[in-house]
Amino acid sequence: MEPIDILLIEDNDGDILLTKEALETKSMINHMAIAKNGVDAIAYVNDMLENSSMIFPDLILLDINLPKKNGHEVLEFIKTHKQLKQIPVIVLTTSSSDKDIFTSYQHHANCYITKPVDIMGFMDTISKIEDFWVNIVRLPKHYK
Amino acid sequence: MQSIDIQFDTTDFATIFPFYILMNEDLVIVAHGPSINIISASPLDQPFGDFFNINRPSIESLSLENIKGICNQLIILQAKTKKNNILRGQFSFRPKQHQILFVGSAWFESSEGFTESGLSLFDYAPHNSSIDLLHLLKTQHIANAELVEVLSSLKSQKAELEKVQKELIAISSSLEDSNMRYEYVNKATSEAIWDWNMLTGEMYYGDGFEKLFGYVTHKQKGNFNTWEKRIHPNDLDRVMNNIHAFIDDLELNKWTAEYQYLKSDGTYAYVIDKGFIIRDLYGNAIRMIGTMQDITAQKLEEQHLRLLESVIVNTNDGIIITKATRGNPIIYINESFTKMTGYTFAELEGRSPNILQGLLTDDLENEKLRKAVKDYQPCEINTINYKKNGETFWANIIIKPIANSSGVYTHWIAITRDFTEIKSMSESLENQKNFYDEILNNIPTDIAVFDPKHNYIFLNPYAVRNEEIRKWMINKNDLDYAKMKGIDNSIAMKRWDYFERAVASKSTVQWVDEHKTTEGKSNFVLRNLYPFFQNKELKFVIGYGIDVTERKLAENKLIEALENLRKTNLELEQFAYVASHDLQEPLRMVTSFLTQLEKKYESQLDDKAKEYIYYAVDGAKRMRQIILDLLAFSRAGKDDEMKGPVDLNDIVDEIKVLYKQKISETKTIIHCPVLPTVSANKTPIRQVFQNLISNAIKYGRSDVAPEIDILCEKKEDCWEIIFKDNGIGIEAAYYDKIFVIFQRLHNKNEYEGSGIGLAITKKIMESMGGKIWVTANENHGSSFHITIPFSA
Repeated sequence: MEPIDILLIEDNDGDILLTKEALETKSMINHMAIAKNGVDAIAYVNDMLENSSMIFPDLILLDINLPKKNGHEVLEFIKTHKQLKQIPVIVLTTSSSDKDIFTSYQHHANCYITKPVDIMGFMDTISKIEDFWVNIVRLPKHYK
Repeated sequence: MQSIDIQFDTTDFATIFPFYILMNEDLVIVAHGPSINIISASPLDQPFGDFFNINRPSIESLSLENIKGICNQLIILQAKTKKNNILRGQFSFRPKQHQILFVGSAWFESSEGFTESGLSLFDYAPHNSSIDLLHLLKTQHIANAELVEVLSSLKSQKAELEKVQKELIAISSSLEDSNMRYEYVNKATSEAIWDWNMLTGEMYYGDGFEKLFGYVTHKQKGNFNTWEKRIHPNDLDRVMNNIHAFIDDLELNKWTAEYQYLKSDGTYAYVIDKGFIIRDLYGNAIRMIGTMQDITAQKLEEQHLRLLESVIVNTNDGIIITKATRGNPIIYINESFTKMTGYTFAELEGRSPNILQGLLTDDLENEKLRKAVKDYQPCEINTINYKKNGETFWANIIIKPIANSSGVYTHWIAITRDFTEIKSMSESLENQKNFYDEILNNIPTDIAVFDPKHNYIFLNPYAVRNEEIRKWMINKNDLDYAKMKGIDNSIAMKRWDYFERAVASKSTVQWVDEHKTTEGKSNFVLRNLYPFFQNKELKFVIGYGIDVTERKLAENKLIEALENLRKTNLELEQFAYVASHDLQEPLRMVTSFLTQLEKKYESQLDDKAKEYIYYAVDGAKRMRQIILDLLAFSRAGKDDEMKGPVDLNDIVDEIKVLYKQKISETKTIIHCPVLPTVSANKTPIRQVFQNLISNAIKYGRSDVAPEIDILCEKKEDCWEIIFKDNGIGIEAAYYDKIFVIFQRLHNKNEYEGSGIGLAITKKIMESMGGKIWVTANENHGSSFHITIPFSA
């Protein structure tokens, strides 16, 4: 099992911190890039496509409620982009609205997870995501 | 006339008088001539009356006295057995012998009669009475004196004969006169004379047939058939039966009949035919003479009179005829008059028609009538008359004076017509018309009636205020109006189109016209066109327009308000969503990091610090629940899920599974009948059931296990489902309050909850067209009622 690279698109610093703390415990993560709003996130992936030195993330964690451009827009951008759509995107958000869930899957989200409210649940969920996507799932190789 | 008594031998006598008959005073035949045997069965010693009739002269009855009375007259005897056999001769009475002697000979009308009788020449004695006498003298010894007497008797007989001969001559000359007279009568009379020889069948037609009936074949002898053929077929049988019966009855000789007789021009004349029959000695009809009289004019007159009479008798109008004398006494009333007034003729005869007048009779009209009567002028009045029973009626009376042939007014005829009903009908019609006119003239609605070609038949003042234009519009259409006014005809064209649509669909069409006022404002008129058909044929089209400007404006405002409301709701929803989401984030941060703090720095925190952390986390959690509930409330009833059949039994089962643990912990019993399947959104209806059942469990009494009875009733248009619990119950004062958001009746230490469950439930119920309310049970607990419409 190779450690993986993650792109976390999340505006809430608290969640960023908690996510980092949760993932650190297992140290399966090679590198974690962070974008704090939709525009930054799209700029990041565009840079990544142009700049060969930047590494493609193996997994993207995406919040919905983002400033500037929201998660749905970012998701749509990634999933309609010829070179990006193979990257698994996990929607991780506080929203439990049916509409958000439906829209996400329509944009080909790979899974949708509502952030558990309590800290224990949250930690548990993050660790399960890590376990699943790193240990169980086979991820695609990236060709530039 | 003297009778002689001759004594002679019977044999000799028989030779001379083969037809003699000798009878005694009892009229029994004691001897007779041999030829009598041939014309009659042997009558010897038999009563004379059994064998012979005395045809001439006529006697009242057969008796000795009567026969004595006709002695020495010409006697005609008829044999009873052989009626064709006639004997002509004389009776003589022989006083000494008390005998009656008939001496005569057979007589025939023709030689055939002679042959038929069976007589021969030998039956006849020599007919010369002188020779007879000589023969008598040869064989008998008669005293001269007797002879003288016989001769003198002969002489007197001769004188008698001469007298008869003279009479005959006189008769014959008078017959000639009579024939002449007959011919004169024939010429002069206006009647048609006919003469029918019934032996030959020939019929003589007089000049009258030409004069009356136009037949020029007169005097050419016709026959009976000619006459028969001209009788109208309707009368033929009757006349024929009648005349034959008449001919056959020997006692009758005067015949009369009325019938229609064909004229030469093909028309029929009414005739009265009178005939006289002439019979021979045996009563056989041998000739009939008659006259025909043309009574056509009289007949037509009669018919006309009968017609007039039947008109008077049968008319529904009451008719009175009075004399034109003082007081105008009534001499006739018809039946209708009796029906109309109740008076019989007997009650009115001789009385004045004034009897019909009374208090309410119109004085002016009456005066008119009086004046007309005075001046013998015809007159018509309308007034109230009185019936016999005192009832009044409206009478239309026409009176007319009637003059006799010399022009003097002798009578009055009055025709009375009861028009009470018509009067009241026309009054009520008038009232009705006024009533409807009033409505049509004052109703603030345009009303128009069109003929099938779009032309106006009627317009009410509201439709067109200007009377002149209103009149002008009749028989014109909307296009004419637009042209006349010089205005745009688009509204007229539109109406034309709707008119055609209404007629084609045979039903009312409705639309709204927008009219711009001169100030540029819009007036809206709701138009209706209703096509009226009778026997599948379009009779007319009724149109009406109602000014709906106010309504239209209000409607527009309503649409606007609704749109605003929709926007507000959308914003509110957005707000609730965003707020709840955005509010949750910081709360999650609070709880998360406080928890992390407690976890990671546990060793460095004292109990107090931990207690602070606990309350901070607990507050944040409750805050979060409130936000979630608020979110649920804002979403309640907003479900976009498609409606479908929902089996409520499934819902209850699902909830039982969901609350399995809680139910077993609390030992809750749920009684549930078989519930119906309803048409609804599944998620919200489950939410409702869930809330109500969980409340029933939650608000149980501490000492009793919760027991829930679910009941179901089918109402007129909905299902009513009742959740009956045995819990703590609700005070009546809070029945409404419990459904208000964030309303709690209990401290949250006693019962958990944000106070939003029932508010959500109510909101769901209302959004699906149902209701929710609560009632108290008799002992403990409450019943929550919900209604689910059959279709919403």
